[in-house]
Amino acid sequence: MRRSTQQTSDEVKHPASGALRARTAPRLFRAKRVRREIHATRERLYDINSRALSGARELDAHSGRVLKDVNNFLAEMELAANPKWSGSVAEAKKLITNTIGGASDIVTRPLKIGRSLKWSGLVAYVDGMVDTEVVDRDIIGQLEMAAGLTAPPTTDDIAHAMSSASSVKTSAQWEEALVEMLLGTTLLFVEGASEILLFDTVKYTQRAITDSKAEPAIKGPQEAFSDITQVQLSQIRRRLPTPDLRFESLTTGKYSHTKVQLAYIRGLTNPALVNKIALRIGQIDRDWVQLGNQISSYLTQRRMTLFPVVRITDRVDIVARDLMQGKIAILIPNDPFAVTLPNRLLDFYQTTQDYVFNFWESSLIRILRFVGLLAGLYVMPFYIALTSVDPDLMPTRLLLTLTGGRIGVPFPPVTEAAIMWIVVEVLREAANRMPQQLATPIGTVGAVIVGTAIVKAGLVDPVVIIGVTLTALGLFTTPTFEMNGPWRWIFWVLVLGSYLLGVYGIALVTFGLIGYLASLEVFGVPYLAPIAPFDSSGLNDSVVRFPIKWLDRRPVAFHPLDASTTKPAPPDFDRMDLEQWPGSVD
Amino acid sequence: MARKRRLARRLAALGLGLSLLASLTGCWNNEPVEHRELVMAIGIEPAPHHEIKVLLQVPTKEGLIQLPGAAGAGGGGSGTDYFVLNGTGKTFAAALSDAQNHTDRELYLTQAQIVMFSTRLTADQFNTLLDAIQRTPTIDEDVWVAATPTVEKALAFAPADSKHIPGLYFTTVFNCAVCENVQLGQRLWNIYQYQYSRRRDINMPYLLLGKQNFRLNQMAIYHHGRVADVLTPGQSITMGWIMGRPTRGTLSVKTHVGTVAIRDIRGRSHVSLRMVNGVPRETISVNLKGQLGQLSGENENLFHNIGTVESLTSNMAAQKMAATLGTLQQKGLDPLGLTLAYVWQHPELFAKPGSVSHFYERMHIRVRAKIRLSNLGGKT
Repeated sequence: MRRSTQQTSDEVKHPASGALRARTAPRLFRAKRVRREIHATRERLYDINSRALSGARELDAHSGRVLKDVNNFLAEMELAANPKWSGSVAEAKKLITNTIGGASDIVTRPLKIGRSLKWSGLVAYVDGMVDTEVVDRDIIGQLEMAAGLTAPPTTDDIAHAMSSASSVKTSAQWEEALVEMLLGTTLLFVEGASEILLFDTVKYTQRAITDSKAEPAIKGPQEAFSDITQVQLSQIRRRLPTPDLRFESLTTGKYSHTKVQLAYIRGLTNPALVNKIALRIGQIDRDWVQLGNQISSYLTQRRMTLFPVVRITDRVDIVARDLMQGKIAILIPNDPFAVTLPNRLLDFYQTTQDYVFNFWESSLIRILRFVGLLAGLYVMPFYIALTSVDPDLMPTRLLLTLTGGRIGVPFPPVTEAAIMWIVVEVLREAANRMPQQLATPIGTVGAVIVGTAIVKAGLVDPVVIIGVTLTALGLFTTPTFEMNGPWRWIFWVLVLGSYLLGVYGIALVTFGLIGYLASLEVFGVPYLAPIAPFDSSGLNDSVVRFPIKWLDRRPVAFHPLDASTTKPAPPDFDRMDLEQWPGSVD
Repeated sequence: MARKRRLARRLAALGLGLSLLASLTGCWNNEPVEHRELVMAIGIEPAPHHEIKVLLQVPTKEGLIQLPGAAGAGGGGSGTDYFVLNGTGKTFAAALSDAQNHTDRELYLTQAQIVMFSTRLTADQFNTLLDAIQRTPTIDEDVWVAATPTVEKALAFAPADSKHIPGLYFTTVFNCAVCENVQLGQRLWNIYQYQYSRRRDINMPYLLLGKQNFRLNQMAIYHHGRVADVLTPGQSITMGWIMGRPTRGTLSVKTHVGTVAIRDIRGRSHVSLRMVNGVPRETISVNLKGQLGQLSGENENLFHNIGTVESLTSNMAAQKMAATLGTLQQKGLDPLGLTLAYVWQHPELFAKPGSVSHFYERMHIRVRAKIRLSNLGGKT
């Protein structure tokens, strides 16, 4: 208010500015009226107590927020009515302030374009997401010093005048420009121009590329994905420097505007699969997409499937290998885990390490994984079935030994298993949440101390400790994390079956499980392939891994256009039609 | 919304179905093994007032804990490693029920190793018992059987090599080819087989108490449900040869080169029946293998005369077998089922047991034995 008064006195001193006075007179009148009202309000406020004063302050702050909301609403209405920029810099500034809400990281900076022209312009960007050095030096610096511009300068003139600026594109649409700005693009508004200039000045703060923590390997590649999409793409390109490697960018998420990258090998991956997945991603109706898992749940029809159908990995080499098998990889910004699909059950048991060692060692590791899985799934259910329901199936001496061990244990075997499993899960979860330096010793010490204490307390039979330990170790031999959960669920179903119906219950659950797995199909790829349907050529990289030289065929389950890994064949264009895709694309 | 409701309905139906399934399994009756009375041996003997007495050998907790591998393994025997549970009743089921009333734990009979029948059981009791046991599904048909005059003492007797759980003695003794002189083990289903054929007398091991272990080298022959004869150890070995059972007995034969001992005689036999002038002629051909064990005296030409030795040995074995079969024939006992071939040729005789007995009495039994000596070892 004081500022208005000052202005008024200045105008009185300069009678030449009559037009200005005439224009400002109504505002001055309104300002004086507001000042009088404020004085009157203050005098009234002196009479009320401090509590009421605090309430009044809250009301004032609230009214401020309401005012902002009203401004935002009006700006959105204006955007809806006029989706294109009108060419006014002042309007641009007002709109940016009102739509984004005057956030502290939004920088709007007026400038004068041209060394001699001094034409009005405005630069807008998000602080922290752009390379400010590029903005200052290559955009603002060059624009202010640009020569040879004529009034009004066009966007082409501006683009030509900036020789060292990064890639630039134009758009007249407000919506697009604002979203680009929030993703790290710098906007340039030139007074009177018909379009906004968008400069790619993105520069994120990123983590260093580290080893894979989710799928560590003793030998072989160790590199994990970065958070930044561009870096992820370059990481894949380094492994597959072929012009056939394609990245398709698809945007999803109403608020997140997530730019999902669809990676595949042209001439290898079946286009029907690419089309279907691109279609499904386009159909995602979410306002916020941040994780690969969010996308993967929209890709298949059977969303309640217990078993994973997509592989989520942070290993670059796995993604490169999957691409070379005819699969598709999906990269999500800010998520260092890529999604690959479609997958068979066996794919979750294949790791890089399997191809680093020789045939004998790799096959042994693979066999051990499956043996571990079977032991993990069946040791405890059989123990429960034999000690609770079907003791007649046990050899007599074993029965007597087990019975002798169980004397004095107060719980039935199923309860013992539950107790021990809870202990194991709690230790595991605690070890996961602890710093790495503490996790291993505390996990080990915890297991030993708790296990010993439980046995000494007579709560659990020592055989159960052995069984649960075998179960935990056996189930964790699964190399992919997403496969652990389903097997743990199945373990409990088996335990329940064994408790209710004994060995018959175990057989029943097993047959049900095999039936379920055999019925599972992902984008037409049978989950149990190459075992069901049987494909002898696919068995060379299944439970055992044949010598590398023999792995000369890609899995036919993925319907690759080129099945041979040795002789490049011309793409089979007959198979590129969606109608040609075998089975239901599900 | 409708989809969510549909899903909720499906989940509710699935939950209800699973609950019903769980309720139908009878899982609430499942007792862990440590809450069951694990019966290791079953004994059956007659009781007063035409009742039968069932005796069940059950390991105690202390006995189980002291087993190798169990939680308290390593301790010495306390003398209370097992006990014998009794039950009496008119029927086998009633006797079992009575025994069940003497303990608060569920009787678990499936792991029983042996059923011991008292030789004092009457024919009616024995036959009824076999039917009753067969109708008791918790008793495994693979269980061993034995006849003994002293059931209670036998069940309370602890063999030296199986002190903690005496019943376990039978898991080794009958599964071990060389533990006894002749392998006499018979399982319950063998007995059923004999009983239903009605033309073959039941044989089972005759169990006596020794100083350290049970004595299991005699064969008891049942005729119409009663113990009609107990073969001597020698006769039992001879019957073992005919039946193809592993034997450990030694056959000593005096030859012109000295006394030769043949051991580990075993083989197979074949029975053929011919009618010659209305007289049945049963020929039992036994092909045996034996091991030359010991030779008393010195003779360097033994190897040149091995054929002679085999011939002499075969003759002696044939004589022994024929003598045993002759004794059994005189008593009207037919543990080999020699009349079966005849009865199958004349089915009308199934309903006429008397005529078959008469046929058996007239039967001319001839034994042809051939022993081939192999693995010439021992002192030569």
